[in-house]
Amino acid sequence: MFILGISALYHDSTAAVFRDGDLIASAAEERFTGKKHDSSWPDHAIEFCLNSAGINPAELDHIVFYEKPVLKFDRILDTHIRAWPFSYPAFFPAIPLWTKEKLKIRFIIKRKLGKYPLFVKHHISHAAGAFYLSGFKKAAVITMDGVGEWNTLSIGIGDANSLKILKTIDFPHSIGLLYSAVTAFLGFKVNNGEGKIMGLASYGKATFKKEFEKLISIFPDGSFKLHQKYFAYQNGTRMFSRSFVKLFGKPRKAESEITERDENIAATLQWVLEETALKLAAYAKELTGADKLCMAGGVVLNSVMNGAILKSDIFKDHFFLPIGGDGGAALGGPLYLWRNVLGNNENSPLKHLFWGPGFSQDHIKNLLISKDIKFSIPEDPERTAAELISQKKIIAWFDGRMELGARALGHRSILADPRDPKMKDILNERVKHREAFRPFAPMILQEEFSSYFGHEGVASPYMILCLPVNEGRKTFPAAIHVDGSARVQTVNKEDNSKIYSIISHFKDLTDIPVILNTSFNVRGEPIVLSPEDALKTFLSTGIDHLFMEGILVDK
Amino acid sequence: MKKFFKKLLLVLTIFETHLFMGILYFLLFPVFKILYHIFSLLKIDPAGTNYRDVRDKDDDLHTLKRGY
Repeated sequence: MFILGISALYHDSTAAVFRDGDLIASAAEERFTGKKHDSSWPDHAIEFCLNSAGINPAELDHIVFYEKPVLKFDRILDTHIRAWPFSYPAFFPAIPLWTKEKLKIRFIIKRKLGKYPLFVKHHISHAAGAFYLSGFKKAAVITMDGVGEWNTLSIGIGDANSLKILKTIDFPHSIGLLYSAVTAFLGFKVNNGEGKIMGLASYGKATFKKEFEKLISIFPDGSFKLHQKYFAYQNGTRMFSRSFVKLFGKPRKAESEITERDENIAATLQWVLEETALKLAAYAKELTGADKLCMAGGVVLNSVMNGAILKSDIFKDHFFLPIGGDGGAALGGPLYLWRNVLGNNENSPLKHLFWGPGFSQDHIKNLLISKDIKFSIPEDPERTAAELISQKKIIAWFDGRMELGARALGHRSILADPRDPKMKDILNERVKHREAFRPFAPMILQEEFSSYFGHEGVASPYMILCLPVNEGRKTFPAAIHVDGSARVQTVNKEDNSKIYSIISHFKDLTDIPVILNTSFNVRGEPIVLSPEDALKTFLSTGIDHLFMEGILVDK
Repeated sequence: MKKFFKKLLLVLTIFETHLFMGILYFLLFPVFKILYHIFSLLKIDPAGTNYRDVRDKDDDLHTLKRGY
C-alpha cells in the first residue's frame, strides 16, 4: 500500500511517500525551488516522491493532508471577529487566498493527483510522526508549535497502534507564538529566526523575568495563558503590540547592532520556555504514566529546551522528531492512517534522515566535464578529506541522498577543523556570512559521546540536543557555544558510514574525535540539493575543496 | 467582444467578492463580536490550568475524509 503525505501552503511545504508503512522518500519543496521555507504547493517534492517509489499518482492508495483546512479557516474567521475592527488590514488580503486555494485543497489534490485526500488534524500529524517513528511501544507525546487548526500544544499517549490526544492548549495561547513575537521584536524573521534567538540567549542573563510574568502566566501543570494585551498576532499584521513595546522599549531593527538588552530578553525567553517545558513534561508523565517521551512540532527544534528535558531525567528515554516544523507533519499523517486507523502493527522506526534525492558519480562526472572543471578521484576520499580538514581547509561534502529537515547531517555539509577557535570567524567570512553570535555544531563519534558530554547511552544523530561539554574536554572550541554547550550530532558507522570514517581519520591525525559541521548553503538560501547547486555554491564562496560522491574538485 | 465580456466578468467577480467581504466584515462581524462578548461573560475558565480536555471519537476513514 502506497500513502503520500503532504504538508503545504503555510511554511516548509513537504511531501513524503510510504510503502506498507515504511518511509521511502521525502523532501521539502524549498530544495527544488531554491526559496527558503517555500510554502507553495510541493509539485516538485511530490514528483520526486512518486519517482522514488516507482509509481504514478493512480497507484497511490491514499493521500493524506497534514491538517483540516476548514477547521483552520474557522479559527482564522474567529480571530478576525475577535480582533475586529483592527483585523481589517489582514482580512481583505487573506480571505481571497483561502477561498481560491486553501479551502479548495480537496479539489486541488483531486485535480493534480486524481484522488481525494484524507485530512488528519495538525497536532495529531505531529504527534504521530514522533510516536510511530520513535520505535517506542508506549510513550507520552507532546507537540508544541505556533498554531495548527486551533491547538497550539497537545499532550497525548501512544500505546502500540493507538494514539490519543488527551489535553490541548488552544489559540491564542501559544508558546511558539510567544517565541515568534520576541523573535520579531528582536529584528528577526518569524518562522526563520527562532533558532537565532536560541543562540543569542546564551550570551544574556534572564533579567526580564518580571516583564515576562506580565506576558505569560504559567500554571503548575505546565499550561499557560498569554496576556493578549501585549500581542498583536490576532490582528494579523504584526506579532507584538504597543503595550509590548512599552514594556521592553523600542524593537530592534533588523541587521542593527545587538545590545545587552536584546541578549537578556532572549535569555529570559529561553528560560521561560525551558521552565514551561519541564512542567509540561512532568505533567505529561503524571497524566500518561509512560516512562518514555516523544516530542514534535516547531518548538522542538529548540535543542536547548530538548537538552534541558533530557537532563531533568523526568523520562527514561526521549525521541525528539528532528523534522520539527510542519515538514514532520507530512510524515505523521500517513503513519497515523497506517497504524491508528487501518490498524497495521508495524512500521520501521526512524534510523536516519537521508530520504531526499541522490546523484550518481557518473552524473557528477558528466556535469564537471560539461563545465570543463578539473577533478580527481582520490583513492580514499574520506582519508583525503580528513587530512585537508586537519590542515585547516574548508571542505564541502556532498554524498548520498539529501537530508530531510532543516539540518545538514553529513550528506550536504561543510566540514572544518573545530580545534581552531578562529575557524568560526573564518567560516563566516568566507562562506556562511551568518550573524557572529550563532554557533557552529560538532559531529562526534557515537562511542566518544559520553566522555565529552556525559549521558551514557544517549545518541543525538539528528543534531536536536544541545548539551554542555564536559570540563577538560573543550578541545574543539570552534564548535562550542559561548556558554560551553554544543548542539551535538553523534555519528555511527551503520547509518552515516562515510562521515564516521572522516571523523575516525581525523581522530587518528589529531587525537580529536570531533569535526565541525555546518549546512552546505549560504545565508538566506536552502541547503543544496543537486551537484549543480553544490558546484554553484562552491564556486561562489570561499570553500577550499568540494567532494561529490568521491570526486574531488579543487579551486 | 468575447474578450471584453470576459474582462467585464472578471471585474464584476472581483467587485462582487469585495462587496461580499465588505458586508461580512463591516455588517456581520460587529454583530458576531457582540455575541462573542456576551458568551465570554458566561464562560467560566477553570482556575489553575489552561488545558482543554479532548474527548474526540476515534478517527476512521470516514472522519478523515472531512476537512473539518
